[in-house]
Amino acid sequence: MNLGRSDRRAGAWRLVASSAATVVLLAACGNNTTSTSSGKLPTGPVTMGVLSCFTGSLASLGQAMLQGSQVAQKAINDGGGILGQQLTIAHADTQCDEADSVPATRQLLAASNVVGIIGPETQEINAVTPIVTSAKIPTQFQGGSTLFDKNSNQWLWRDSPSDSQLGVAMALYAYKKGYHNAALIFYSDIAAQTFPPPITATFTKLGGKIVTNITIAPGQTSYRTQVQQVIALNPDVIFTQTDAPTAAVLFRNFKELDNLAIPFVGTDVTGGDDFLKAITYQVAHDHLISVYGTSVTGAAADEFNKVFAAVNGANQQPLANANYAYDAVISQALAIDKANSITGADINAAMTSVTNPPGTKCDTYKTCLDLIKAGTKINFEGASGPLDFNQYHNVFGPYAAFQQDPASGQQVQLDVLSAADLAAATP
Amino acid sequence: MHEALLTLGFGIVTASILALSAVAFTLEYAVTNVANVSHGEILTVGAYAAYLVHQRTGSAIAAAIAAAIAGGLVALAMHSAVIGPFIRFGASPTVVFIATLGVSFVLQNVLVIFFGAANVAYTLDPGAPQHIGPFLLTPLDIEIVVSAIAITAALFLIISRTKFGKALRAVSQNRELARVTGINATRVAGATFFLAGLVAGYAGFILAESVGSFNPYFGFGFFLITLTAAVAGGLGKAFGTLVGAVMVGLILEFAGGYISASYNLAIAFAILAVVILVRPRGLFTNARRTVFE
Amino acid sequence: MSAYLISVLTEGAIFGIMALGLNVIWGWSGDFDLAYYGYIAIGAYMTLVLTIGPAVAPAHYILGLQLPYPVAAVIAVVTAMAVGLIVGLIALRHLRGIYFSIVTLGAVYVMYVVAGQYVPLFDGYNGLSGLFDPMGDYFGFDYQSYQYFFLGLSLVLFVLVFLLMWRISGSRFGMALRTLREDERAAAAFGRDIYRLKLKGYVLGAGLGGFAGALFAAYLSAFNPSAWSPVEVIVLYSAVLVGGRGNIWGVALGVLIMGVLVQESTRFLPQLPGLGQLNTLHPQVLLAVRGAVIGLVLVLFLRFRPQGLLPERRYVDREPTLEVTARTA
Repeated sequence: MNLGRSDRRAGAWRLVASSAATVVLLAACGNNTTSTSSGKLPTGPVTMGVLSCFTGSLASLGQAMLQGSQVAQKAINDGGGILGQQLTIAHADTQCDEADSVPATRQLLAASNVVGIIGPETQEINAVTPIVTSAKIPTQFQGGSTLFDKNSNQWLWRDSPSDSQLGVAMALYAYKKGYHNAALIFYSDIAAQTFPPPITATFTKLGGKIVTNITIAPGQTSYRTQVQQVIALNPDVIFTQTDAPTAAVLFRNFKELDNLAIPFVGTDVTGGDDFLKAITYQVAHDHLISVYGTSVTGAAADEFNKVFAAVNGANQQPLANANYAYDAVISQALAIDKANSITGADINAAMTSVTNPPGTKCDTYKTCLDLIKAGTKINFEGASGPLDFNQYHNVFGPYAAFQQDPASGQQVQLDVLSAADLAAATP
Repeated sequence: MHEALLTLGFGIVTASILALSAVAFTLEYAVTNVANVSHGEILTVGAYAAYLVHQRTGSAIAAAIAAAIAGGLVALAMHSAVIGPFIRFGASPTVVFIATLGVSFVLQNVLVIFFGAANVAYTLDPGAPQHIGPFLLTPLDIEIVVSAIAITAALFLIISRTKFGKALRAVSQNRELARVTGINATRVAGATFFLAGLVAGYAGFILAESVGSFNPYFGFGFFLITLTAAVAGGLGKAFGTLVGAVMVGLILEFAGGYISASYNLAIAFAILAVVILVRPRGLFTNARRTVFE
Repeated sequence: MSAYLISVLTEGAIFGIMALGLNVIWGWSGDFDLAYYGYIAIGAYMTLVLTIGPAVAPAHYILGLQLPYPVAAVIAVVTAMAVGLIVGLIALRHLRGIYFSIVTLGAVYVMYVVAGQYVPLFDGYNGLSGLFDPMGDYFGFDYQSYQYFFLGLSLVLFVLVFLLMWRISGSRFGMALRTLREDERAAAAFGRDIYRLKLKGYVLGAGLGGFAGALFAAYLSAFNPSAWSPVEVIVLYSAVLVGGRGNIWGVALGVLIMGVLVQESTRFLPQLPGLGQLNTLHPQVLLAVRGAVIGLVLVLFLRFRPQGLLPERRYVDREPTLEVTARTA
């Protein structure tokens, strides 16, 4: 450094001044780009963005969302498109991480004619919400967070049931099976920690007793001590959700210490293939019942399966939860058709008028679109359920208990818990 | 009291796996003066090798041998490709420490590329739990504990009784002096890494067996505990490390049971910080002793 | 300018401040500190609990004030410095080299586990959210212009921090820190209070981390354990190393290469023809390739170019040496 002290400072001020000027300039540019007009029609293809994790340990979530959205894309484009335009599906990777979700969301919003976002999950929703709210883009949240049960943000919709309903369903199923003393074992993840409160409240209301609630840290090599504590309290049933590696250790420790004498009732995660493989199909069959939203049998589900086979081949099975993304895209597309506009506010306003009763029930994009064109008020029935949004933009749906069939590697549905049963049991 | 004894029993199983990993780590340290952060990946590679061989052959013994050999080769590669050259280049121990952190990153991600990040289920039938004294252990647990003791005993015999062990001790005590007396320090260090890799690879196998599943990040998590055990016992001191491993294994099991398993790693590191501050050379050592304490 | 580019640049500027703070600790003072990401997290968490207002059940967190953002940011920086001081007081007293690294690794894991598990502090795994466009109302920016404003703010702050580091780099303090890195004993022999000096550097670095964390919180509007993990510090280290350890221009270059280009490239690789299929088949592969590249770069640079792309300028004494008469026997 040969610069004298004063020279250096002058250089410094120049830099500050020029960067301050940059701010003003940048802010000025910003003002020009805001443009939202009412009743806007698309001039080219319209885009929906799938915002989820495509990399990392939860990448299966993003794959399912993308798969469901692509099935819907085919149904829509074969059924006449959205306002006469083709639908394209973009996707961006949040890595299930708040820090990476912000650029990912902005990357999606930068695409032309973005009319909706499918995703993200519970992990990133807090960082994504302000962006989509400001951009006024209807967003189909795909996580189960119970914090969302009383959602008041008009831009967010959730077409899959809340974890609190799943908690109610798990407690109800176990109680109906005659289990009256229960233990809770959940791992310390944001998504898993939403279950214990609704399970506890429902199970206690029904007359059962929670003997212990244990939170375990994922990724340990032994949970024997915790397992021994649970066994000592002698519960009839254990409610659980952990990630697959933790489950492998946990089930193994139960096998060692009491030969898996206590049955498990798990969440949707425990019905995922990763989880089932980690504990082996046979153990899952003998000792685990997973409770999750059941795919309604009906014309909408048949349509989903039909289009799925057309996209992915007849011998493929849809990924778990792909039907929710499918419903999200179809309902959003119908709302656009109904609104006759791709402006976020118009789409948002039209949403419940295509999904909720009263109206003529319809199950496929094509039939619904034809009804809208004919001026009929419709009530779209989704592949995942009736898809009727309440005032908080949440839906209710039937749940079922599933058991793994080791021979076929598929989940077999046992008992159905109807939306009415759940409403009665809800504390 | 009953529950405390059961916990003690489980702690012994954890401790014996930890002991193998930690003693191997401390030997690597002894001959290079470098804390090998990629040590955990030796265990991971061992687990994958065991899994692959077990699937092909159906033999647990073949799997164990494969794990050890794969671990030995990976450790040897770490030494000849990274650690050795860095040392000859005159890099400080901290620089090599950072470099091995990089190696650990590379290996984890290469394993993800080949095998995916998802968990591999690796379940052997542990057999029915039996009451052995006051403890409740499965036959698999007993095999793990017995093999860990046998391997540790063999290691100590090698270090104390063989010519190679003598060279190892010489290099660990004073590398320059050892070289002056005609010992090929690089070769001794390489051989030590291979030996440590055999042990760590086998530790990866029994850890996977005991846990029931693993993924590419599996060894790194265990390395953090290994590090605690080795530092608590005294880095580079085989006997101290052994005692440290048993202590840490027991403390973790008790802390998990009586405080909360969620805080396990934090507790382990808190112990570590206190040990380093109070007895930076480990709990049972003083500066003058050698690797064989 | 697309919204995406804006967010990448904003993130780059924040990342730059993080790297400059790390450069004080590692580049100048020479300590391989693994706790650094903890100070960033403390800065972010504290900014949020001081601005988002009281907790509404079922959320739990401390404080829950509604202070103006700049005030909150200052308190957040002070908190990060205070925690840095505690860790530094313990870790810098006697420990150097890997023992220092191991203790700081322990410290950051304790912070991470407590933040994630102890719910009353920062709402555990749920984390905190609700800091929308701080200062936007005050200046009357709408959403679009706020993005430009915040980018400008981050860039200006980065430049200011950069200038501050520039001053410190050539100051007696900066020189003294470097002497400690090069030869602690010699510095002690010249009467330097090593402990105090190192501690000052460490707390300064922690404060910069906290400052970057405060900006990060405003950028994300939320913070939870998914937003950080102790190993993320490796990317920061690779940026400082590749650019040029100790040289602030090098650090800025390193951030551009490792923090922006390498980080963001994987976002676009799947969109290149032919690679999309790969990503659908093995979604983890790209992230793994990036991780392996970062690790490999770290090893290769340490071995073959430890001084980085823009090496730190060595201060050479250009004064004519005094005649030293050889002693005759």
